[in-house]
Amino acid sequence: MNRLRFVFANAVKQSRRLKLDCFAALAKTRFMESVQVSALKNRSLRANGSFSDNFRQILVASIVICLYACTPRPPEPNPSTSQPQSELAAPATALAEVLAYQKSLLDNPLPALPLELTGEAAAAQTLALAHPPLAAQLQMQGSKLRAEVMAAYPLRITDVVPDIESCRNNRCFRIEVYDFARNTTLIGTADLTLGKILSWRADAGRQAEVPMRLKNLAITLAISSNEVKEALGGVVPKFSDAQMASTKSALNSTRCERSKHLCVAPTFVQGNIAIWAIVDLTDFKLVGVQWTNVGERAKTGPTAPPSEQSLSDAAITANFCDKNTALERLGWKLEYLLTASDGLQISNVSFQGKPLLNSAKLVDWHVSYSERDGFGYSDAVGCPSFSSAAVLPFTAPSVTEIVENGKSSGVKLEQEFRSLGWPGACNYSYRQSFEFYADGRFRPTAGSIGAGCGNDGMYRPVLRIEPHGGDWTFASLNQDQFEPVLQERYFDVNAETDATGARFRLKNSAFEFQIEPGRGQFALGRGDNEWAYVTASKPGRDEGSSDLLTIGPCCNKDFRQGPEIFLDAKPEALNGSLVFWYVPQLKNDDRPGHEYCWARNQIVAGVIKAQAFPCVGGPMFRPINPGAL
Amino acid sequence: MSKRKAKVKRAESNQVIVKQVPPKAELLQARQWPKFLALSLILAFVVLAYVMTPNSQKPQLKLGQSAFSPRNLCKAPPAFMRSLSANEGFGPGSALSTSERDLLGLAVVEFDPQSGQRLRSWQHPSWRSAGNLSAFALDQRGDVYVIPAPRVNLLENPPAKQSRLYRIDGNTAEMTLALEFPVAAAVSQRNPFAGLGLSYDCALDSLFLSSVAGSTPSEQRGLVFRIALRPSVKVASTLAGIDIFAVTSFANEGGSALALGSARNAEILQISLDANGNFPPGAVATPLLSIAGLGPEGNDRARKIDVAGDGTLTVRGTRFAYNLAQPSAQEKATSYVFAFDAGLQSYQFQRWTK
Repeated sequence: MNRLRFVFANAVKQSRRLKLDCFAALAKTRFMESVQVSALKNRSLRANGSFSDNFRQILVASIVICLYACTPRPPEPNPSTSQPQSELAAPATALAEVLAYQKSLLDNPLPALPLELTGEAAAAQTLALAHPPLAAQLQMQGSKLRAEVMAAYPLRITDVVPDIESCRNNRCFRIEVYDFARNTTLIGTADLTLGKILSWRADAGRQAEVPMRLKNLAITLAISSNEVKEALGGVVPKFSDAQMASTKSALNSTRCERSKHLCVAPTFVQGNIAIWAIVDLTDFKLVGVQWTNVGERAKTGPTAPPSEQSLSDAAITANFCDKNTALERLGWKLEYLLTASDGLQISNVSFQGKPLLNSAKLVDWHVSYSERDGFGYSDAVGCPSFSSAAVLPFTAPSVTEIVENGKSSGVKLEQEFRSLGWPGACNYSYRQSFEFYADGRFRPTAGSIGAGCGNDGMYRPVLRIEPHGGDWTFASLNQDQFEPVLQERYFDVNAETDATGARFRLKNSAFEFQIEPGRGQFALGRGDNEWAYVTASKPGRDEGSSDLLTIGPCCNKDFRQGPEIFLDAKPEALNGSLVFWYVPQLKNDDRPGHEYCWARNQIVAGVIKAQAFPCVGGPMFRPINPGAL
Repeated sequence: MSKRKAKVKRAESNQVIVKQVPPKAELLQARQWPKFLALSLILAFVVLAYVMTPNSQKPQLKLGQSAFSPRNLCKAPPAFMRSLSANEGFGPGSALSTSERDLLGLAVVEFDPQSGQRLRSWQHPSWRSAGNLSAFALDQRGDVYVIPAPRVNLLENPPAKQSRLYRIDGNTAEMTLALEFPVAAAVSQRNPFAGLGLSYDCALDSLFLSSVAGSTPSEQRGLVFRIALRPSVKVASTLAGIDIFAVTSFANEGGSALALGSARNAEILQISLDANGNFPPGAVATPLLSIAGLGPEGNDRARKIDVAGDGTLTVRGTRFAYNLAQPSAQEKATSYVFAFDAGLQSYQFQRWTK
């Protein structure tokens, strides 16, 4: 039934589109041919000077134009490509298409992948691809960038500017080359009469119209995806079902604005629903799928079509900001959600049916730079919109298996946050995770992936862990002995740990944990050099359990990282209810081979990819007697 | 008169000649071919006239002859800028700025036009007191009005102090609280913003201020205010239930109206004002323009709208999603230019630039 409805709706849409195409083609043809024919006549007029002869010619030409323009005929092939429309026939699988395409990129010895062209367009393309400045432009870090010729067509007289003045009289072509790495279109002018390239211009951020081969690839990727199939009620669409496949994001206000990749949006119409599949042609992947109501646009006025950002934000907001998600694995049971400014928060955490934590979250990131006194940022992480987050989630939280010594031992709940320009200068990426192990261990972590504003950066994430219940005791190591902590207080950085790595102990009637700070024993960590705090928690009083505003400045180097605001001038007794705060201090490093809290761009397969060197801090809570749990 | 127009006139005289052929009935019955020939002749002349006309003289869109005209041309530079020029060495390129990363609040800055490096800056001590600031507007007396907005975090911009309008005395440069405007709901970390847009209207001697305080993902609870400046600063009129970023008044044939850049999407709306410059009861903003799909990202919000003397509209766009993510320091704002097409009687998009 779905299929029938889809085919029917599609057929109607197709006929409407053809009708529109006919008018557009007629208008275009009329204009182009009148210009060409009249240009010929102009030359003829000047050469012969006989107005009556020329008048007859013009008359005949006009009649021909009228008759030609009014005769229905198939759409004109795209002048920039030799591939006819009929090539929109069923292609091979998406993977085969991508592999074939990538091979064509690898095998291509020219600075940019050429189009299959004939005649003058081919000659113009040859001139462009042989022009040394183009090859120089399409290099970075000694690597050739991925680039393609997207179009080659006769230069319009309106495009003639002073530096290509010869094109007023000569036969000139405009060549558009898209630089996938920099998301830039290079526009060249080829003067075929002179046989040379007159100029190049780089339009950063502008994307050229995609040629047929990329169009085909986008449709193949879309129809091969499970997401599109699911959106269509389990029906795999035919290749010919895709509408507007050539509608590049730019034309349709649809962008991959975060990745700054070239994206197109094959659209499938089912009844009055349009299903947009956003395909990333830089990374050869489906970005996402969204349904929009075709009729809704008419009712509510123009709205922007879905884009990479809108798809991502809508999905994250709906599923992880406005509601809790339950997670139950390996004896652990909890809920998680993204907060407005305290990162990913877990709540109602229990292990083996016994309540353990009220909540745990990441309140702030404080970033300072040692060589610039007072310079830095206090960043909050949280929901992508309607939040006070400065660094945002681009993807949903993930749950992955933890493998230790070749065996599955736990699960990791993780969320990454990014600035839009990461890893560019003064942009950040943070990773927050909670590790839960089958043996009762758990570890909240905060990680930075740089790159920030310099190589002198110090990252101080503020972690807050609130145990459940009112019968907890807390102890800290003091000269080989764990001594009870009775009042709220902070603990100096980098204090000793015992032989097992423990610095604190946390105990109630159901659990007994030792708390092990990072001293280089955990993956991606070189030591936490942490500030720690334990504060009293009283029923009916908010000790930081609600979404917190920024609680500390960027650049304090001492214990004043924010949690101290919950330490009263006269320290309160803990009395069984407490909150544990943990602030690792992670110093970045950009030395080759030693990178830490760092990221840099590198060229991979002709496009820019981030090379990440994370640093991660956070305490491990290890049951002292796992068998008792 | 363009060359093309003259040629079209010749074509019209030919048309008159064509009309001197035998009566219509005769033509219909016996002379179908000459009629077709004549029509073709006319078409040929039109085509010939078009093509032979030099490109530069071809008819262009009648742009810039707009129905809109600005209402803020009376704004005057603050007197303290003159003394800064005289005493602190500030040059004619000096300007007020609320977007210096290293200077909290408002600052007078001067940049080297060649290198783009900042040459000097100056701040009155009171200019840092309201935290980060966003939009500002000059009035006809040289006073500056400015609104706060958080940047990166809420440390300097606590929610309780965001629904405020500040006035900077044009003579003394002292910044003081001018008004605390109403909000639909308290500013919070779920929506840390209040005032977003601010502009001045000379004829009304008023500010127009837009606020999104209290709005939620599912409900627009924003307000647009006309704030009268004399005899005292007070809210004179309010438009409720709409989240607006840019707000600018303009004059048109119908009187005065506002151009409103939506904070929710890329649309720009307009709403007419009554003879007193107030929002008529029940008035609804209607679509004017859109920057959807334009620019490098295609999804900007209109943060500022300038109406030029010739009616050209320049819309300055920015990313905005009710969060504190900031464009990188190196990133320039995108400007979208719309010109009025007298033929189509509507604004047409011209170009975007960084």
